[in-house]
Amino acid sequence: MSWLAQVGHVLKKDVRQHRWMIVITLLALAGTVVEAMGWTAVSSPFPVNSLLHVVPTVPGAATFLLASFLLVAFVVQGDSPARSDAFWVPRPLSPSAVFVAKVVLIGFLAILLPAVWEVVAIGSHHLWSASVIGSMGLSVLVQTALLAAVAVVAALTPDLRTFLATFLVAYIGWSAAAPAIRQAVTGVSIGEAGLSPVEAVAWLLGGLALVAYQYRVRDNRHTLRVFALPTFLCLGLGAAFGGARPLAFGAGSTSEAVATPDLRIDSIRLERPPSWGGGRSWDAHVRMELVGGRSGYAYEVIAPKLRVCLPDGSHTTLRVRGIGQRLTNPWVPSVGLTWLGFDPTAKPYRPVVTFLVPTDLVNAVTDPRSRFAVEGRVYVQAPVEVGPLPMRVGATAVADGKRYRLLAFENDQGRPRVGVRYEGVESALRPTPWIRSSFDLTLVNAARQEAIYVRQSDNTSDSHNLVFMRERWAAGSLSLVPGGGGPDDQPSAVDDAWLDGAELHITDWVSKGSYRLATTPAAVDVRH
Amino acid sequence: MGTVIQAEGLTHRYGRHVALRDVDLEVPEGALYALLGPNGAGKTTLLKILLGLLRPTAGRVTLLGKDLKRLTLRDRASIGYVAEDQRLPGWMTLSRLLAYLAPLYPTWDHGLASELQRRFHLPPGRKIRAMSRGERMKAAMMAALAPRPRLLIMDEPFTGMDALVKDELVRGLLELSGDEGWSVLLCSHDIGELEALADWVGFLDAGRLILSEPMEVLRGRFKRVEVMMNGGPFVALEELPPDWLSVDRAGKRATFLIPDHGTDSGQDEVHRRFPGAARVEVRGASLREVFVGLAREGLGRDSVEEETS
Repeated sequence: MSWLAQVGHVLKKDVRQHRWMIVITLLALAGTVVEAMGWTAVSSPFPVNSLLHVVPTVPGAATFLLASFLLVAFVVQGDSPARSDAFWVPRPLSPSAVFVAKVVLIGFLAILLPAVWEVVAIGSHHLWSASVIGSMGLSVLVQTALLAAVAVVAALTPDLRTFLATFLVAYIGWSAAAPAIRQAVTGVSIGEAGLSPVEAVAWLLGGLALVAYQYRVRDNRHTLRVFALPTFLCLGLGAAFGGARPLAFGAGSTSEAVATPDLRIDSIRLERPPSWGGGRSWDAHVRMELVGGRSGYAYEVIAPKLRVCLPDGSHTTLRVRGIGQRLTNPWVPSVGLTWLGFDPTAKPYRPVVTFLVPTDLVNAVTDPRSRFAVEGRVYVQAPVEVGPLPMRVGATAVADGKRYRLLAFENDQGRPRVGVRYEGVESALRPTPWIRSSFDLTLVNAARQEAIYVRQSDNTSDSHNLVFMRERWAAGSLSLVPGGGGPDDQPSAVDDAWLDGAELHITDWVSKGSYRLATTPAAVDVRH
Repeated sequence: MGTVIQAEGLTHRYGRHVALRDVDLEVPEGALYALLGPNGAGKTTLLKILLGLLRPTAGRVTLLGKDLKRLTLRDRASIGYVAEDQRLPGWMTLSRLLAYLAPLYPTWDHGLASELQRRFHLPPGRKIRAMSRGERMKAAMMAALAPRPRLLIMDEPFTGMDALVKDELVRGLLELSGDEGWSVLLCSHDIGELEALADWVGFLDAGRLILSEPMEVLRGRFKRVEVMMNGGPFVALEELPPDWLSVDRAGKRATFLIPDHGTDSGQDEVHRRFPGAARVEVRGASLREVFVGLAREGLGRDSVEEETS
């Protein structure tokens, strides 16, 4: 029997042997596909749909992923490489043929089939773009890498019970250790655990090599000895850099031509806590200024710390309580336009971050000899100009994997009201995992060289999982009204002709990464 | 005559426990080689190493004239293996098991498979997990014999088999071994069956192969002596020569094995040591008696070693 025939022979046996697990996996996939296609979201008078409405409460992609994990365990341990008494071992079967048969079966059921459905689901939403293809490719890669890691555990454990116990311990240990290692190496504590493309490729190739080697030698101790160093490197590097979202650059360096602005502390206002609050600590509202940022780019302070050099020479670090305002620099095509009402370009560009100051430190903090510095990371986003959308119901524009559609518009006694819907593919693996629903929106009448800043008065959002666990379809509807939200931001009335000749400009952002930033310790005006 | 199995300096450790110590083994082509030894002697470990199921800590194995690591799949197809603890795919029926295995072996004999199935009274449609222990062993045996292997390695193959089938199987093995020149290496606790089967014997004790020789030579090496005293006292049995094995005493009767040097000197020595014996009976030793004698000798040596250590 040729090597290839052996692959087919084992494959056929595996399909028959694991038919029930295959059926369960396919059912889980079918549930995921139903959710991915958005069928469960359609309201209908038929009772069947009330049943279908229950489906989204079950995370289909997670169920499918779990079923895939079990499938991998069943298939690998069906001809276990960890048992010297396994049925296949003394037979004239090539270990590589057995291994390849497993890879083919798992690859088809847990990778290829869902990938095809993912393509169909995204296609049904008409959301194809380079970024969606990229993130979907990464999802496939990461899912494959995860299955390879599961196959490693399955190949080193003799039975399902040991596999489940080992897998649980490994997963909990990894989940606990990875953020700590990442924090220690990169200083970034935010972001969810994930795999970078390089790391995913390393996991995938390393995992496959280990399982193939284990099939050949069938000796756990020997296999682990051979793969100990690469595994350690892979896990260590992965823990350090894999989950860092957004992308972490070294201090002072960012990709492309993103300007590295300086962060300065403008003023600090101390506020006594309410008496019913316990009075253990005061709030220090730190007003900062970002200088030198690139025009139109959005900046956001991430995980800031306020370091205080006290008069007695000691240092203390204050915990952040909240970030009041995103450091945005609204990007609007303002050149040569006259703003009717609110002028977003005149908006002050100062974030306020609130830190907790323990009561016993208040006197020291207010001492003029104290020095303050803010440490943290700054997350940089570049503007993406979408549209413009002409004032025509149904007009659409697509950018960066997102689609925008004008739902309605009206002129309510000189105050334009606009309804817009956006939808896109979210991927936890992209630097910006979730679709932003906070755009900068402007109505521009080019003929009259006039513009009205419109803000969101209301928004609704909707989302459902796609086939791969890290991808979702997300959509939202925005109701837009003129002005910046303040009492003096009302524009002068426009007529219907103005609105008919206008276009809606949408500014969205794409992530450019983050970098470490620290202010120089300086004296700051601290007021009560 | 060549050798089908040649092992040199095989050593295997399970952690700190040494299961095999520097074992050299040769199994001649066409031989029915019985490997004997008490529990924990290292028999199963040795067989698994010979098949490549375990990696030895040290040593080298040649099977069918080739280094174990260089065996091709075709070579492997000519080696059959049956083990007491071997896992069979319980979800398969017997007929599916045979259908799965048949294409893997170029020499698979469907006729022989059918014949064995009939002889073993195995229902083809029953799932293996629903079979009794004995039936599973028969199924494993069928799977090993149907390809007509050049070399058959069996670890406790008679476990769970009824006497009739066992007898039939022994006869079948003898036939096949004789007619087709199969070489068989087997270990079993069923010494009675081995005696009928084997023409070579190896004795493994505490990981060491302490003897390996043709059955006839082994039988000829020892004589069983039974001494019946006539009321007089026995000599202290501890004072008997150290190469007298399995000294046993029950009432007026003492039995032991003495080495057979091909002369009457041994019997003369018996008469000299038991001058008041009412009866001295000397006959050839059975394999069981030799095995028990050697095993007891090993246990005695172990206890002495433990005491001295």
